[in-house]
Amino acid sequence: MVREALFYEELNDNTIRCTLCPHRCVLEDGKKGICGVRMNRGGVLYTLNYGELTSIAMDPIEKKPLFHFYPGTEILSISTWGCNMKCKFCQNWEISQQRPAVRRVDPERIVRIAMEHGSKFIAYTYNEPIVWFEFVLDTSRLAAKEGIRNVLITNGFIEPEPLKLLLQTIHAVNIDLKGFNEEFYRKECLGELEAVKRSIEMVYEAGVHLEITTLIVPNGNDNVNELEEEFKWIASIDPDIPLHISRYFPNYKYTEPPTPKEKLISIYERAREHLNFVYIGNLWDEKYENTYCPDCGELLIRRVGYDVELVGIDEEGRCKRCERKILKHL
Amino acid sequence: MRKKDFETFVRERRWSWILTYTFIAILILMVFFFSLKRVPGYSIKESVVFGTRVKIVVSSKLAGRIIEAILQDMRRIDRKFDPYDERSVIYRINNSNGEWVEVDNEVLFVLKKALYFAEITGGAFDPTVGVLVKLWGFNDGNYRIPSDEEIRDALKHVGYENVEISGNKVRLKNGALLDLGGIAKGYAVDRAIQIAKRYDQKATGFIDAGGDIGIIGPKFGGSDWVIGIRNPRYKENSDETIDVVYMKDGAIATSGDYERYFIKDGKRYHHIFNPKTGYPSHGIISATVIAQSCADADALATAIFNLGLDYSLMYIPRFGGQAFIVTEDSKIHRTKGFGYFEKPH
Repeated sequence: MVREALFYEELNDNTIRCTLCPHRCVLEDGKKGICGVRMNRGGVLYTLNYGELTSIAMDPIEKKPLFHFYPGTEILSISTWGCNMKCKFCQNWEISQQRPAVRRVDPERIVRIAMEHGSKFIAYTYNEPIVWFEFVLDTSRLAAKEGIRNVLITNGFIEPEPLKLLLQTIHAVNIDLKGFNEEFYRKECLGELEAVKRSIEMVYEAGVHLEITTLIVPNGNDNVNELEEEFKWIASIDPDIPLHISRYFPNYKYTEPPTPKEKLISIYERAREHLNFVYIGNLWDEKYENTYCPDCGELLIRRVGYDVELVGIDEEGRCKRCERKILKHL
Repeated sequence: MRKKDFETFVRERRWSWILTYTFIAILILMVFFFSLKRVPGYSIKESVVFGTRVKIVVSSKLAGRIIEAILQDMRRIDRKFDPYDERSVIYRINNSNGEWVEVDNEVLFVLKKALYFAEITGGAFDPTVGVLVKLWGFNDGNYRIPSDEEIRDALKHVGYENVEISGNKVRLKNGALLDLGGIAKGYAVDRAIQIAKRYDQKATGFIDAGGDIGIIGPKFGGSDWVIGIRNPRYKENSDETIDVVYMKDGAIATSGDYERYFIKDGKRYHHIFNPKTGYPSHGIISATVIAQSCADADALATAIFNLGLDYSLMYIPRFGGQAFIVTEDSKIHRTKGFGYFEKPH
């Protein structure tokens, strides 16, 4: 059902400005925003995808990816359609850039499904949950009351005020940082690097568990020196923030071949110079998915595919050998 | 000779032309008939549940079974949540002298929803007005105007903070009495939609439980249902409806001071109480809310009576609803987003 959006301001003559994301689309009557799911009708902004579900699945939490947040658990993962970015290499474009078949649900139903499946977690993922803002907010509020933890897998392209509101009931976030190049962000993704950086800082400062993913797109954002600036910047916030370097596969409007393995490894090695926990996704090589103690080198969490074994971590989340704090949530 | 040949040729050919045209005509007709979608017929049943008229309109191969299952479930919910039925769980909670009572998931779900709306509306919706309902005689129809002292005493037992939930147990403090009437009917409509969809994912239609309406699916699979909003001061020779909305999904609920009331000394006393004053709330005579679920719409429509006009127009959209409100001066007010539903789309 259409539902009035929470963040917008009235301009004049039934024209409004959506204030949910940094696009701040100015919409005349009858027009939709860049996201395709928020529409001005008669001077009121409506969200068109409230309660519209495109995917629902129980996934390993590592698939999100979240490697330092209750490792080895399963998470109810849901999504709708629409996205406020237009990445030409989108890996989920079937639901982000068009409206597929949907099922209608309400927040209570999602919370009940999570409880019935024994999931202590709900992930808002696959497409961009920011453009599902009202539904995510309602569901996460209900879920939090039932002791369920909420996880947001997002591009982080959101205005500070709505993010602050949402973070009240969100327990972990993985932000997709699509490189460290403003031009790449603008031209290839229709986003803004500075806005995403601001979101990353806000999530960290709110004390919400944070991990970052960067998809390495060949001939796009794969300049190692440029990426090193990203790694340094993340380290300046906290070198313990886990970073997932993810392998790109040709999708949507991109036909470049998949990121070469060697490239990923060289980027990984550069990242490790600045950050304590770096992983390579979509490579399926245990060596780059395991967690090692940054102080003593002990193997802490072994990951083979989605099989996860906590081998060197004590009950407090510390390295068994040198007692360095590794996990806050397990 | 040549001419004759030509005539014979035309005569012989004529039949083949006629046959060809007939064949094409049949083909066109066949394509036309097959392209016509079969318009589904609607099965309609009316009954009385929750002390009100319930109308179920369903189009499905299994319409008969769906209607029976819905009615059965509605009666079950009515009994289960009726605070004055000794067999009901609400009766058990209300008469447990503050002891913990174990309840099932369904009761927990409805109760938590009620408390959620109580919390977000700052108590404008309150599921513990049971003491007031009883005091004013709305439980058995022995209406009376209580004294100020009686109301003061009753108010000591009112307040949603008196409901305590721990795991699957519920208890009431301070002699509070639960009355989930403001939400259970809406919940039953939501359940009815789920039942229809469980029997047949393609079912369409709607359920109208005395002004609480939930849409199962669009009319004929694609059109809006046209729903009239009742004129709260409807008299003969006046318009029965004061507005019309168009809906393909979601729910709409109307609460009005005309539903249950008595008149004493020319003054109308109705069944929606203000949990702060102990008197029927005044200022608003009818509130309609469109929301995702009927339980939400039901709770918000009740809340509007106590939130008052200004707060309702400001907050109902933030709670996920759109509102249409009639104040006692017979003026109509609506949240800006309500306009979307006043046009077909």
